[in-house]
Amino acid sequence: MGILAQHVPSIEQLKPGLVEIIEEAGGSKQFFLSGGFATVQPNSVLSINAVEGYALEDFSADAVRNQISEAQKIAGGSGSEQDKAEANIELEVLESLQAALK
Amino acid sequence: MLSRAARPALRAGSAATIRPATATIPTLQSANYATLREIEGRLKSIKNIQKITKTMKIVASTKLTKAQRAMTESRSYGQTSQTVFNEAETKALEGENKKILLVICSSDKGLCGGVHSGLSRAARRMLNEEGAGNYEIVVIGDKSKAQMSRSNPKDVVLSFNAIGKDVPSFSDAQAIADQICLLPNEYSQVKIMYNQFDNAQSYHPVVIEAYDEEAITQSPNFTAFEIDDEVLANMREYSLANSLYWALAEGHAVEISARRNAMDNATKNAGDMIDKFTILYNRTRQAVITGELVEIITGATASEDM
Repeated sequence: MGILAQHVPSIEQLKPGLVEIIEEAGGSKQFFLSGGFATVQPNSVLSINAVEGYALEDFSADAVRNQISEAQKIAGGSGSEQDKAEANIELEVLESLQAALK
Repeated sequence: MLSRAARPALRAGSAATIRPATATIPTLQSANYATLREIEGRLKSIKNIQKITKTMKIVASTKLTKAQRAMTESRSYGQTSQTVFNEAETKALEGENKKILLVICSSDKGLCGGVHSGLSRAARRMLNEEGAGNYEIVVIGDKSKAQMSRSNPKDVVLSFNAIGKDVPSFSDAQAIADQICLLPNEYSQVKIMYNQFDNAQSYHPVVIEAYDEEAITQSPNFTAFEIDDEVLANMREYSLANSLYWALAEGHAVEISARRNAMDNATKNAGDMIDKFTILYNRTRQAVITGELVEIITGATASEDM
C-alpha cells in the first residue's frame, strides 16, 4: 500500500511488515513494525501507530533465526493453548521479519 | 588552689545541705537529665527521618526524568489514536441501558501527597453528579482501590495492583485492556481517569474517553474514513490500550513528581525540627549546667560562712 498526499481518509490495520518512508530531501528510511494501525486523517495527515518498531538495519539475522527456532519449539511443544497461540503469533512476526531482511 | 581547697568542703557542705531535701532534688535533677536524654533521642530520630526523606527525594528525582520521558512518548501515542475519534466527532450513545466503565489509574504506593486521594475524590464527585448506578469501576493500584471500595464497594468490578512500580510499559496497558475487554458486561463508554501533569508542582484529575463500536460507527464524521468492518473491533481495543498506556504513564510521572515534592517538603520540615530541637537541647544542657553551678556555689558559700 502506498500513501501519497491527499489520500482518502482511511483506517487500516497493519500486519507485521516493513514501512518505508520516503523523505522530502530524497533518501528513505525502512522500519519493521510488529503490527499496528495506520490512519489517514481528512487533513491528509498520516499517522502510523505501532506496538513496536525499529529501523531495519538494527536487526540481526542470526538472532531472528534463533528466535524462530525457539518459537517453533514452543508452538510444536506441549504448552497450553495460549502459549501455543502466542508462539504462533511470534513466529508470524519473525518470519515476515526474516523475509524483510533478505 | 582555691578549687582544690574548696572541694572537700564542698563535698561535705553539699552533702549536708542536700540531705534534708533529698526527696525533691534528685527527682528534679533526674527529670532534667531525662528530658535532656529524651530531647537527644528525638533529635536523633528526626535526623534519621530526614536522611530517609532526603534519600527518597533523590530517588524520586532520578526517576522523574525517566518517567517524564515515558510520559511525553506515551502522550503522542494516545493523542494519535485519539485524533481519529476527534475528527470523527465520536460521542457516547445515550439513552441505552448500558453502563459506563470508569477506569481509575492510581498506584500502590503512598507518600506522594494527595495524588491518590485527589483522584478518588474526583471519581466520587463524578459518581455523585451523574448517578453511581450508571457506573462500574475498574481500579488500578491499591491506594485508590482501598478508597473506592470504602465508598462504592458494589461498583468495583475489577482491580489491578503491582503496576506503576516502574515506568509502565505498553504491555502492562495491553494486559489491562485485555482484562477490561473480557468483562462480562458491555459498556457504552469507557472513561479513563488519571492525573494530568501540568507542571512539576501541579496536576489535576482528567478523563479520557474510549468508545464502543456502535458509538464509533454512528459518529457523524466517521463515514469520511475508509475502514473494514472487522478491523473496527481491533482498532477499538488498540486505542483503548493506547489511551490506558497514556494515562498510566502520565499518572506515573505525576506520582513521582508529587513524591519528589512531598519528600522535599518533609526534608525541609525535618530540618526545621532539627534546628528547633538543637536549640532546645543546648538550652536545656546550659540550664542543667547553670543549675549545677548554682548548687556548687551555694554549697561553697554556705560552708565558707560556717
